[in-house]
Formats: sequence, structure tokens, C-alpha cells
Amino acid sequence: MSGSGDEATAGPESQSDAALVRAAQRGSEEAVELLFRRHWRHAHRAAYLIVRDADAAEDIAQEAFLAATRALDRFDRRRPFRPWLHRIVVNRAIDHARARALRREVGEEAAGEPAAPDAEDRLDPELSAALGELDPEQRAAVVLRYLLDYTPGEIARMLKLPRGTVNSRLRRGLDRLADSLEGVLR
Amino acid sequence: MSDRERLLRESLDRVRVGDEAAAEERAWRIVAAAGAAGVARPRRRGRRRAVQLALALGLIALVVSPAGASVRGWVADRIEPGAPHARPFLASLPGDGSLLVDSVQGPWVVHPDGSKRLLGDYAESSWSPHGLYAVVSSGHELAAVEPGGKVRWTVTRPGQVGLARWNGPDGFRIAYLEGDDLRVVAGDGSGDRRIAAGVARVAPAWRAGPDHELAYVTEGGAVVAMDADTGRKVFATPAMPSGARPGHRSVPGPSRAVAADHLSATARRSVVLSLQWMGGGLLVTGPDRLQMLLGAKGRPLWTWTPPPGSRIVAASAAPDGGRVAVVVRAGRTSRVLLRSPAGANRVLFAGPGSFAAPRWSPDGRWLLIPWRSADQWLFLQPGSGTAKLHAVARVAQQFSPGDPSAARFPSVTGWCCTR
Repeated sequence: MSGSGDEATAGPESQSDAALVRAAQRGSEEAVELLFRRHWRHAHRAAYLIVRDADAAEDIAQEAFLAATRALDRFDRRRPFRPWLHRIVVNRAIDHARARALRREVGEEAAGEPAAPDAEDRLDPELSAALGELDPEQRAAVVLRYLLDYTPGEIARMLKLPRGTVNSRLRRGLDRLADSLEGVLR
Repeated sequence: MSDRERLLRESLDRVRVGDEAAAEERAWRIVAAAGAAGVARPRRRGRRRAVQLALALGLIALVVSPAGASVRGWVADRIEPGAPHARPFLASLPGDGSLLVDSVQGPWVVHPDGSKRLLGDYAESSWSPHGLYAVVSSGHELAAVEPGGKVRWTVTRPGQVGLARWNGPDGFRIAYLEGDDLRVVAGDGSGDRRIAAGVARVAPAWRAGPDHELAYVTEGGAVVAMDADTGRKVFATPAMPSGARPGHRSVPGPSRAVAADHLSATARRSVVLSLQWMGGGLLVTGPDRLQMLLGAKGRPLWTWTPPPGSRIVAASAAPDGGRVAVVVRAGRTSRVLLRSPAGANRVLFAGPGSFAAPRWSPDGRWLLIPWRSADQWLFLQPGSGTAKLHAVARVAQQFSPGDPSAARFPSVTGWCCTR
């Protein structure tokens, strides 16, 4: 057995993102993997909550990590890695959600060949439906604030929006989710 | 923070997206593979030079190897006069099954009785394993259509898509390229996802069987076989060296002309022209070599190199998995060779100009050789002592009805299936 908790505190898992970025820039594959493992789950879930499609979310999160690793050489180490990555994820998810609204995705009838099993969606159905009623930008603000724990000021900087716009998106988003949240409470 | 906000945070914290662990592993394999291809790490000149040196040594080894030497005893030229009495139109196909033909107007299905149907305004097509559908693509759209032309489903992607291939025998998966990404979608159009990045513009190849094993070529020229469902790598070869023109990666192949037109410019051309599973191995065709890789480990079982001054244009394995038809170009002449399971080569046909990728009939009795320069299709029966031959002329015009001025020689993408 390997990777016990005690070892982890002393090992590279305990290193900061900045240290891992530095190591990755020097060519450490282990550092790239640690960055990936540390941030994948939230990136994946954030993408999912914005696009509400498990396959697309996996794609978007993958794409964001690929873009991030490709740009790692040029990454300014004075900047924090996490918001940089999340900005890529969220912007790609917003783009995808907007584009999907304009595109035909799947045709009328399915062909006779069986499908891969669908991804399981464990999001509370009421909350999922309520999120679906928000536009992608509102969903992005809600996800950044309540899943990823960014402050409105940080969100404004990440999305290059006035802080007032972020506050109003969050407020309107919360108002529209209020009923379903009451349902979750009950 | 208000109660509502706290509640929302707790609710979002509980969100799970299907099998997250599997998604994470799939994604990590792709990110790691991209890193291994050099995109995540700073370039190291010393290492690159070592790779170049290794390639050069490999090339020298190839030239002096017994396989290279045996080429000197290559079969003498036997130039045939061509096919002067070609039929002016396609009355019927000599064998069973239907052809799929990509033309400037779109893909056509050609039935055994010679009747044709245009499937729609698509750039490329490929048969499903039993010929019940064709997977077609154009621009951003991938679609499954019935041979009658009815569209069953479509998937639209942000990037340019193409080179789609349907797996067999179950037909549960379709692999295709979006730019330099390799993606897989289920046979009913669902579950579309990327399974590899940094992929060269070569059609992926499914291994026949229940395991959904897929081979593809990386931008770096390596051949990779993987389980498309789990992402598990079966084998990966070192980069295939370009012996004919070291350092030159652009090898246009007539059979890929359509794909080259509409796939993303970011996807680089490869030194590998095509992949095809046959028997227990993977046939890798490059301009300077034909190589059979063992399916389990990807080790070369045999390698054949064309004579000096010639290059391989295309190769196609017979359905029986034993014989391979190889098109070789030398100067202004092209030849079609038949490589037997024992490794002997026999010239089936030779003529001036260029031939495109040959296609076997589903029963393996006939071989269709598209003779681009003569605007003819040649149907040869390679099994007989004196090859029986039917020729059809004015092919380009037949696949551009109503607009002969725009006619271009079409590309035969498949001959399927015996029912």
C-alpha cells in the first residue's frame, strides 16, 4: 500500500500550487499530475453545473487542462494557478452553453445501434431544473461563488466584469433558485 | 452568509457527475499523453537531437537490413496496356455488396445492380459494419444516415470533423477526428467524448471484436492502440521514421484528398498513410514501408519496403486477413502488387499515372482499383491465374451528373457487405 496520509503531509502532495507549477515548468510529470488530481474534480463539476451535460462537461474540463498544460511554459508564476484554471473552465463552459443553444445537437430518432450508458446525474432534480432556468452567465457566477468559493470581487476579475454586474447576477440567480432551495430544505 | 446561500453551497457540494473517477482517469490519460507528446513540458534540445539521431540510425538500419536488401530482387515490371475496352458506364458491380463513393456532390451508395443514390451534401463517408448505415461528415457535422439517405442522428462539434470509422462487429462505437482530437460517439449518437488529443490526420482503425480496441497515429508519428471505453493503452510504438524523405512530414495520399480539404489545418500530416487491422495484427502503411505490428504488444512482425525510387501510395488488406493489395508509384508508373500471407509479391496490374486506394469486395474475390489518371475503375479478380478484369470508364462524370464540368475523380471509401 502506498500514499498514506502521513506520507502525504511530507510528500509533494503537500506542496503549494505555485511550487507544483514551478516543478511542472521544469519538466516534472509528477507535478503536472498532482496539479491535475488536485483540481480536476472541481473543474469537472463546475463545467457540469454550467453546461448540464456530463459528456460536454468532461470534454470542457479536459480541454481546459490541456490548454493549461500547453500554456504552462508561459504561465506567470506570480499569479495563482487555481483561478487561472477555473477561468478557462468557466469561459469554455459558457461558450459551449451559448453555442449549444444555437446548434442542432442530436437528430430526431436514434439509430438502432445501442448506446453507451448515460452518465449518472446526482444533482438534486429540483435544483437542476432551477439551474437550467438561469442563463449560462448566471450559472457561471453561482458556480464560482458557491461551488468554488470565490468572492464577488475575484469573480469580477476572472470574468472581466464590473463587480456590480457580478453582484446582480448572483442576486438574481439566488432569487430564481430560492424555491428549489426551499424544496431541498423540506 | 445567508441560510439560502449556505444551503446552495451544501447542495452544490453534493453534486456528483456520473462516474467521476472514470472521467478523471480518462482525462488524466489524455492530459498525460499530451504531456508525453511534448506539449506540457519545455522542449529539450539535447533530447530532441537524441531522437533525431535515433531516427537517422533507424533509417540506416532499414537501408542495410535484410528486408531492404530483398527489395533488390523485386518483381520485374510488367506494364499492361491499360483497359482500352472499358465500359462507358457502371452497369453492375461484379461482386456482392454496395460501394460507398465520395464525390464533389457528396457520398453515393452504389448498389450491386449499378444503381446509385446520393446521400447528401457531405464530404466523407464510411460504412457501418453491416452496411445498415453510413457515418458521414462535413464541416462541423457528423451524421448517421441510412443507405436510402434518411438521417438518423447528427452531432455538431465546434471544430472540423472527419475520418469517422464505425467499429465492428457490434457497431456500438464510432471514432472520428475533430481537429487533432480523437473522439468516440456511441452508435446511436450519444455519449460523444474525446479519447485522445494530439492525433495525426489518419483515419483511426477499430480492431474487429467485442473489446472496442482502437488504433490511431499521434502527431509525433507513433502508432497507439487503446481500449476506447476505458482509455487503457494496449501498446504505443515509437514514432514511425520517414525513410523516404527524412524530416519531411507531408505525404499527400490520394485517398485522403477529401479529408485533407476540410480537416483543421492544425492537424499535421503524418508519415503513416493508413492503419488497418488484419488477422492478429495491425497493418501500418507509410510511403516508405508496409509494416505488420503484432496486436498484443505492437512489435513488428514483418516489414516490407518498396524498391528505391518508388513509394507506397496505399494498401488494403483482403477480408480474409491474409493478402494485401499494395499500390506503389515509381516515376510515372503505378503498380498494384498482391502480397501473399507467405510474403511473396505478385504484380497484379501496372499502368501509367496514378491509382488510388484499392478496395476489396466483401467476399475478397474482387479488387477495385481506382485508376485516377485514366478516369477508370478496374475490377480485378486476383485469385485466378490470369487476372480477370472489368473496366469502367468516365467515372468522374458518372458521379457528377448534371454538371460534367465540375466532375472530379471520386474516392471509393468502402465496399460492404455480403448479406
